[in-house]
Amino acid sequence: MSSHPDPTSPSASRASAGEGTLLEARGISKSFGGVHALEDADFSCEAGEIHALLGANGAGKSTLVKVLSGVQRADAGTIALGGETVSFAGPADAARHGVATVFQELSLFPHLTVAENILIGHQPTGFLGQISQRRMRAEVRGLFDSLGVDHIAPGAHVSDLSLADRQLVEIFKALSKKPKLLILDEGTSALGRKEVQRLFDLLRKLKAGGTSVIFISHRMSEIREFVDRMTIFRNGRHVATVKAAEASDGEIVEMMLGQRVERSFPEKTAVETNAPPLLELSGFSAGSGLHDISLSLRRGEVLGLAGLEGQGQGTLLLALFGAYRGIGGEVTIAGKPAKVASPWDAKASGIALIPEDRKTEGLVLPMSVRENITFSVLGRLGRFGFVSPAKEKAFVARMMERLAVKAASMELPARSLSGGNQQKLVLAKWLETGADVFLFYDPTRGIDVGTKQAFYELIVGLTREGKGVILYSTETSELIGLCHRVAVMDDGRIALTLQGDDITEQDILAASLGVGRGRGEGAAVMEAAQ
Amino acid sequence: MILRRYKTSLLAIVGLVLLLGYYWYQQPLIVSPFGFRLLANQGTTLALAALAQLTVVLTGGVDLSVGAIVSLSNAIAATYMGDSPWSVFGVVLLTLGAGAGAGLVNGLLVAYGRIQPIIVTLATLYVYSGFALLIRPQPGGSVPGYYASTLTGAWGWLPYSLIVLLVITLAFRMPIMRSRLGTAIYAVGDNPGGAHMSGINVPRTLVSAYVIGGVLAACAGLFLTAQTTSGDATVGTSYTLNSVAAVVFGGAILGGGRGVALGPIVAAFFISIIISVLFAAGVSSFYQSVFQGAILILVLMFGNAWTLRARNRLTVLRS
Repeated sequence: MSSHPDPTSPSASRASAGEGTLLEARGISKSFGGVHALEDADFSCEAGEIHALLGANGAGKSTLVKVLSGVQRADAGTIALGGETVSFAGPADAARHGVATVFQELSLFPHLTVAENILIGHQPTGFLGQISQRRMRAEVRGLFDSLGVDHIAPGAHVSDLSLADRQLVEIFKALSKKPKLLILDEGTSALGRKEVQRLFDLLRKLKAGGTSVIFISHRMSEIREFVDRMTIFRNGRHVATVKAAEASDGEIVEMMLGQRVERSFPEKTAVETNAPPLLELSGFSAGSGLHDISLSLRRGEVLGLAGLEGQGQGTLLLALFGAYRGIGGEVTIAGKPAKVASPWDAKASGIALIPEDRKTEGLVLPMSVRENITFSVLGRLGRFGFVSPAKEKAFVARMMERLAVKAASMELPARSLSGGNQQKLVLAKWLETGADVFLFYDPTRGIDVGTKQAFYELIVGLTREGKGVILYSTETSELIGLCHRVAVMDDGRIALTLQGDDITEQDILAASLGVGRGRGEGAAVMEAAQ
Repeated sequence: MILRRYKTSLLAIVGLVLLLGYYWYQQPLIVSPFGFRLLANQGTTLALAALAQLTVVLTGGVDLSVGAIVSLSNAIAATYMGDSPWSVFGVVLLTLGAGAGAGLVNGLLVAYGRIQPIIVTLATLYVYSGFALLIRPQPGGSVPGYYASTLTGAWGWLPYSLIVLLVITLAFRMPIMRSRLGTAIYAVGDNPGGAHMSGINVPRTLVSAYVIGGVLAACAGLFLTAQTTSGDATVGTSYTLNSVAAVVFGGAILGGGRGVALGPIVAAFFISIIISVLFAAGVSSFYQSVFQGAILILVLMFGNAWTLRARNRLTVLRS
């Protein structure tokens, strides 16, 4: 049980030395309805190492995680933990064996407190079995303190936390079981730059304490610097395991995709600068989160929203889509005043939103691919309020082809698709509603490189058709690669708008932090703005 | 923190205070030891039934058999109780056991039979009503006078029924809800998939919630028997839907995961007393149920106007 390595020894060399294997999975196969999610897959993880698991959509990462954490049973294969063959009866059993997992779908209880969520199932109890709230909060506070988290109150309700903080709570929930092996499935997808750094520090401390971490993320450049080894999966099989320092980004992507793919952005659409704006906001505001926003968007243009996390970028998109009350200012679309008092007003005005959380705001997960795609255009697919099945099927088939949605059948529930394909469904829903303005809320969060690329093509494709796009992304490279202009937001206002060659990582960061760079146009404009 | 916990009960409390204020204005005599006793006895049965309903609703289910369990308990108690303290004690235990058994069957069917709660409990509603009729084909039976007065009497201004309700709530239900099982009940209602992922035994939690509900419904039946001092196999019918109404009015969400005992208890008194208030106000008995329904709708609309003031409507829809 206690095979924790000596924390003083350099764990990086220990990991590569091949001694002290903590987890060894061999020949794992798992299929769902004839589709092989995993086929004779191997995976192993050393004690006290941070191990990244990489792969494109449908490579089998999530299935492997579910098998390793006891959520699903493999059809074939063995798992050994510390040299002993194990078979988990369920997630609780896996946790008893020292394997704790943070899943892609958050398993939190929004209406319980942070402390209750973290300690659920093993709360400290008194002699009558009553839970001691005081001891519970103290325990959670201790857990937070030990890893340097001080901004979340143990007594707060999870429903009041930001997505990033919820993810931290989820991670602490796994940590509270004092695991030997912590599995993070897309653990950083909702986190901003600062939070990711904090998480990495936290994981390094865990590793120093002898805990192994399996880490799944699409942010390859971010995780490289702190993982020891990487395992690449493709089509349900193990492709390679390499030391993080020994493979280049290009090589890894190549292994993930099976072919050499440069991550490149399609050429930006040329925008006619004299054309009248498609969308114009003046003095636009929403409660205390958004003040006096004035901007314009031309046809064919991609306007980026940047800034530190939570500076009003999301609020701006949601308010434009009518999700907020008490909005002020003027919105005009193609020269006419537009009403955005509610999402249906916004839709009627020609605005489409690809929302932040595709699972709850973008899709109805239990419903089929077909139903999800046709929700917003049902009125057009039939007559007298009845939907014509033939027209509907033809429409769905066309959209699936256009967006290259990978699904065995259009009748499958949206839940069964991978993250990238789910996101495509969200977009498919809006493509033919006649919308002119597309709002993207961090659309490539948690989806793999190949699908990201497809999304870039789609966004640029929209601009070629004369649509206008407002893109909020937490990945600066996307803003640089796709946007004609980038508005950097700070405290609910637009602090600065960068254009053309001024859209660089440095300029965006400098503007986000409110500091000058002392070079180029960006700094000059910013000084003028102050 | 504590205020926040009970915020959902606020609507019911304000509603009851206003209703009692109006009642007092119409009928000053209610502010007397006798009036207090009357008011307390009037609401206790429904309050207990609402606690039963709440426990099940928290898991995301609904228990349509609450009324049938009340009837069944009433039939058992009034038929077998006898006169000696020992037989009274034994029959009270038997009745509670019957309630627990009824809840157990509901729970097993929901948790392991994988049938939707509303259908399971609709079916058992008929079964338990049938048992009640078998035990007590015609209204009748009796309970000893001391049994009735112990539960429905009063000590000066303090009605015993409130003490009974308080003891059942604080000494039976609250310790359970504050245990790991209680948190598990909230968790299962809030996010069943997450509960499973968190290592909670979801089926066992569901079964426990229905058993607790069954016991509380039997408590309601036992109190009702003290009030009516006789048995009637159909006496509990109205408690099913009224308990659901009390739970919702009391701030719980039918989807599960949210709600505290205070709100439904207060709401149960509101719903129980409103008929008397309408009578005191001189509303014709033909219109009483119309008014009763209309008042409930108005009150709930007023309460919802509060939540709809939230700025981001997504948060309202999400919650």
